[in-house]
Amino acid sequence: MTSKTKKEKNLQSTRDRSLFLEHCLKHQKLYLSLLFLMMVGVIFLTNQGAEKVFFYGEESYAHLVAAEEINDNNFSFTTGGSYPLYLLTKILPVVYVNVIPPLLTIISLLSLGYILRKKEFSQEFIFFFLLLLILSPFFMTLTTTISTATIFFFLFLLTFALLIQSKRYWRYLAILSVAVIPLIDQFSGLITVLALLFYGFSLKKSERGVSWCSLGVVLLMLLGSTIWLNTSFIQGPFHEEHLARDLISDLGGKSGISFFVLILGVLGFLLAWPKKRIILAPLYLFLPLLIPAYIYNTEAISELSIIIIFFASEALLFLINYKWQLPTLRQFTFFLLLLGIFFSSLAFISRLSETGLSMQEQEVLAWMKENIPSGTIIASFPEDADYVSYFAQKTVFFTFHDQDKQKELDNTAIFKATYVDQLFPILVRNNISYIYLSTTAKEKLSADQGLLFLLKNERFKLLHSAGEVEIWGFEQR
Amino acid sequence: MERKTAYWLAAIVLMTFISRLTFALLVPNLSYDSYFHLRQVEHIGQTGLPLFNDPLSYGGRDLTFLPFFYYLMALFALIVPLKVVAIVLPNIFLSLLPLIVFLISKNISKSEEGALFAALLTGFLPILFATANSFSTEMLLIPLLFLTIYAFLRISEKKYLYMYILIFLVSSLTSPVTFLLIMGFIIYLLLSILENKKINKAEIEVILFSFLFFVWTQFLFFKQLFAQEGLGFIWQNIPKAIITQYFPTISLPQAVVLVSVVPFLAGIYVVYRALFQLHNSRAFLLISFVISTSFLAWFRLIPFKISLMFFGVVLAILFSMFYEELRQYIAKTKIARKNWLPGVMILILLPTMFLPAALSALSVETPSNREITAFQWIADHTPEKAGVLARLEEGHLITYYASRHNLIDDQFRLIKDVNSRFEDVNILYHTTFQTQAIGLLEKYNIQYIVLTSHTQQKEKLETFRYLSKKCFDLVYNNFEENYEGGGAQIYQNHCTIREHR
Repeated sequence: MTSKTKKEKNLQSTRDRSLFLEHCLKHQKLYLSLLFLMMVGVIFLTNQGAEKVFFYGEESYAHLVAAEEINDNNFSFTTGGSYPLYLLTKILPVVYVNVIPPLLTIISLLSLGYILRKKEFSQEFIFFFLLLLILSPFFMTLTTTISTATIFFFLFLLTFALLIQSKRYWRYLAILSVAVIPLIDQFSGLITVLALLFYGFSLKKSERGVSWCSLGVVLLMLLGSTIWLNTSFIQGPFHEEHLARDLISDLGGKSGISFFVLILGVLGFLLAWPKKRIILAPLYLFLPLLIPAYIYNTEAISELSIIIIFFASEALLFLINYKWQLPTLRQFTFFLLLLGIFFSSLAFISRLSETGLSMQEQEVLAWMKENIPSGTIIASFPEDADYVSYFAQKTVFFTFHDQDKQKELDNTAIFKATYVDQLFPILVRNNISYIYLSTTAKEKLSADQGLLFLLKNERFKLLHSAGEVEIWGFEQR
Repeated sequence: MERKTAYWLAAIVLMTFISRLTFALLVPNLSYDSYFHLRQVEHIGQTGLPLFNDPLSYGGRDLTFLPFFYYLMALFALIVPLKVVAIVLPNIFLSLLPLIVFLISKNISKSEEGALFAALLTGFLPILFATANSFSTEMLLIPLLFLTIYAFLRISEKKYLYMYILIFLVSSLTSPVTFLLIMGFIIYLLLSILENKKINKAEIEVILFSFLFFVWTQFLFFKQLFAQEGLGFIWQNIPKAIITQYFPTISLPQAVVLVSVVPFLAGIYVVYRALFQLHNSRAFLLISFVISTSFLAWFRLIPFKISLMFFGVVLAILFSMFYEELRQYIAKTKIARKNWLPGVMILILLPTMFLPAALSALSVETPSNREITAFQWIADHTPEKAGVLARLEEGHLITYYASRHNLIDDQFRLIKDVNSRFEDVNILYHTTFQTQAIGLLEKYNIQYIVLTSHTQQKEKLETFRYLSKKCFDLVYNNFEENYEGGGAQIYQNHCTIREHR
């Protein structure tokens, strides 16, 4: 009698579980949309509450500055990478550019869902894939930052969503969107070339026309943008790079994925390998390109993350369909996985609110905009440089994405100098007249030695400060 | 289990406990690091919460740690005085370890006699015996880890599955070193795949669950630490100058003495046999733990002392397999007429184990009674906001006995300027320039300097070289004339840099 009751209970719990999953799957569009809105809403509201500037991350401001430079100087070949944004700012005032990243990610999500459905991925897989994607920090960054990755994903997914259309004229429209991708950077162009190659070969010979045409356009644009627009291989970096931290958001990264998703990704990679599913072949083949690219420049994290999330969804699906010998552990394990992923996303959101410009920093930068003459050079911590460029509209000595080794060494030497004999020649040689110190910079510098101590020299003058944020003038002589 | 075996086992457990307690009482006071843990337990007893925000350590800082051990101790401290709990309970935990080792060894070697020897070896393992005066999380963690292994070995039985989940949960909330177990499990899976062994599905499920649970709990408690220090959290932010003390490069002879010579040699033999001849999957699990411990210690991912403790106990378990094989081999030879093997084995073990065990227990560094009296004096005779300088290991004595803020202690995590602090402490002990010393004391808001006999020995210093009657007053002195009984001097600083100029 007792055993019967136990069996019935087990059956009931299995039924309940599948009912819950089925309910989620049935209304997945609603739940995923709600989740997306909730995540984005929380991020934006937190930001508004803290009275911080709208965009997160230095990258947004680097692009805005580059787009402004194109506006001011008509067209400069060296800023070709920000051309799509330049086009946007030509159409929209900067204030409205705010809505662009969320809008682009919504279209990207819709395109992605559409592609997966068309390619006959199971409903369960699509649900888990989009769920993990929306919850991942890298996707949150895409939604809140004007980044090359946001534009790339939008164009890339739009291209493929158009390419799989049955009507020919829709497919030809893909050539337009795909043509813009190489303007972002060479890496984005290269990934598109590979994806188009895979896609082309997966079609019947008679259907390959538009794909090959798109491929030809991408190759031509890639060549043209490399030669004439001088596009970089990968744009950035826009922050101090850390291989582990930029991959795993739980280690304090500004993007990346949760550690739990990484574990699931590795598991999915191992589980999917023996199955040799043709649909997964491009993913395995992309990895040898993406991993070195990530090591070269961690800005390639977005492309790598999406592949890891794909494998993670495979693993999640496997764990759900797997017949567990210890059913008790199955429930615990799923509970832990969900908790871990949600916990990681929430931790990332709470950390986001701690980043960005403080009120004092905004105040000092506004003062700098009004009171410091144009054309002068300002030294700052590289992580503050894009903010200074955009908000104070002044020339900064070095930013992470300058990719100028000598400038990087000089900038490091400025902030690590312990004697005026080391500091002054660098400032004079590079014509630096101002030093901007943000709250983070002050925290990192030692109070009684190094630069903060050297600022007591008569050649330095504190021009303005708010809280811990300071702008110092340097007398060149 | 035979009744005779049960008596022997009880005797080993009792003997271990009595000898541990004897050594704990012979050596005055607890080891230096114990006072941090004592303070946490006291705080839980008073407020119900651990001290995650410590106003005294480093002049005020955030602390990150797993709280289970402190709550458990606080629970006992409600009934028994904390000082008794601190000495007796950790020794009870480690005295129960031979019992757990017996169960594992019996499960693996199927020999009660071999398992008894493994239990005896564990009880008197020199590296474990050196912890008789220690009140720290490791005292609970080591038995818990081996109890987890025992439950894992019998995971197919439902009650052991629940036992496993419960103990693993407790271990994960006791110390991050539980990672050692996870690493061992992963190596076990890899070894099994390499040897084409069919892996039990239940084992894979348990390993996956354990891994996820461990990661989740660590992220829950160390979120701030991971975000702030990234991968650097592994090295605990230990100052570069002393990182070799925590993760010393392995000196083989020293390691062999600490885990005892006989089990070490037997362990090598068993590992060789299990891997290349017998392909015993039970032994695989233990060998995986040996590999994981060595790997983690080699790459400085876990403290050397803990890895050696774990390694020593695993070797003791492997010894039971060696003993059983040896017994079976001797049974086939002509010299098998009498059961002389246990006697000979004890004779071999006596000089190689019991002597090093006793010596290591007696050589533990603890503060003397006179030194502790000096710290207690500070609590009664100095202003509440005063800061006190003492050596790194004495940092917790300042916060525990003197209830004043210190300049440095061994809880390095989340301290941004730990390297410069460490250097400044060194300068404060060795500089000859009074301005430099006063400047640093002012920087860290330190008004009192403690010079203990321990400091004198460690720093090879008779007194501070910058002391002058104008700036420093000797406010306390309980040094014995011959300095042998230990003691301390306390100086108060009256000067500031501005006045001095």
